[in-house]
Amino acid sequence: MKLPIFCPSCDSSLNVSQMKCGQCETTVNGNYDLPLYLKLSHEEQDFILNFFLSSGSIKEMSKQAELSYPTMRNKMDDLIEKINQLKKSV
Amino acid sequence: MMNWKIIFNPFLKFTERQLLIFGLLFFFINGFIGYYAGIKMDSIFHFSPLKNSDLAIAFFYCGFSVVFAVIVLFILGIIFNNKTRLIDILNAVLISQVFNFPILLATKLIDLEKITGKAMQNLHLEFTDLILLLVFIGITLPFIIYGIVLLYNGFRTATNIKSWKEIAIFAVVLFILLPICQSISYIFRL
Repeated sequence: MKLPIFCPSCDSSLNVSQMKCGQCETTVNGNYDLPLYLKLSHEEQDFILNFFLSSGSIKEMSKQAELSYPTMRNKMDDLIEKINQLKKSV
Repeated sequence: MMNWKIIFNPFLKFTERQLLIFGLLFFFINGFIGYYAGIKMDSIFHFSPLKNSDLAIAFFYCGFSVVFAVIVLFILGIIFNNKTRLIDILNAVLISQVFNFPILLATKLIDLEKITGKAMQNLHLEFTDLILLLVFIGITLPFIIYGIVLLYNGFRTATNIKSWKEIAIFAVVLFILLPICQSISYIFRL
């Protein structure tokens, strides 16, 4: 199941209000911000994961995705810009 | 699988090596066809008659036009994005010139020089001349537009430009570099 990160009603970022222990069923209620990584879309999270798994090589990632190097580098630059904006807004 | 996106922006998918080999192959094909047609490329997207029919001179003009465009666009690319690579700009220029050969062949087959010569001397153009002129425009214009689209998409992929200001500056620089390159080419008088 995919973790929803945006409100289906107004598209705002969702917060965590409840967490539950899978073992003893203790429930914690509160209002927690999602970590920055989880505020990204699933494609963007996959992109970061793939970048990590290919030892930080954009060239290797572009080979795997059958895209050119500048296309992959542009995706990376756009993602860096988005993360910087998210960091500023936090 | 090839789709419209790849046809208009091959820089998204193909590696720099594939693009360079393809671009260089057509650079030489266009150089030979230009020599055969008696036409020199005095800037990218511009052709004029080759006075001294010499293969080396035909290639010199082709090479100069490409190198001049690459230098200007690379400097512009670096200003927009310091991660711009020379190879990506070179490929954008080379690939944008791939479809010069139908233009060169059409110029040779239609004998455009004779028709424009008549027009320059204010001589009466015959109906067949006008038809030939229209056929020439009909053949060459789509290839020139396609070339410009390829150059824009290649530059955009190499530099990651997005804003309309950057796109407008690119267009202005492109249309300034063409007459400057033609003027420098004219100085050689080869």
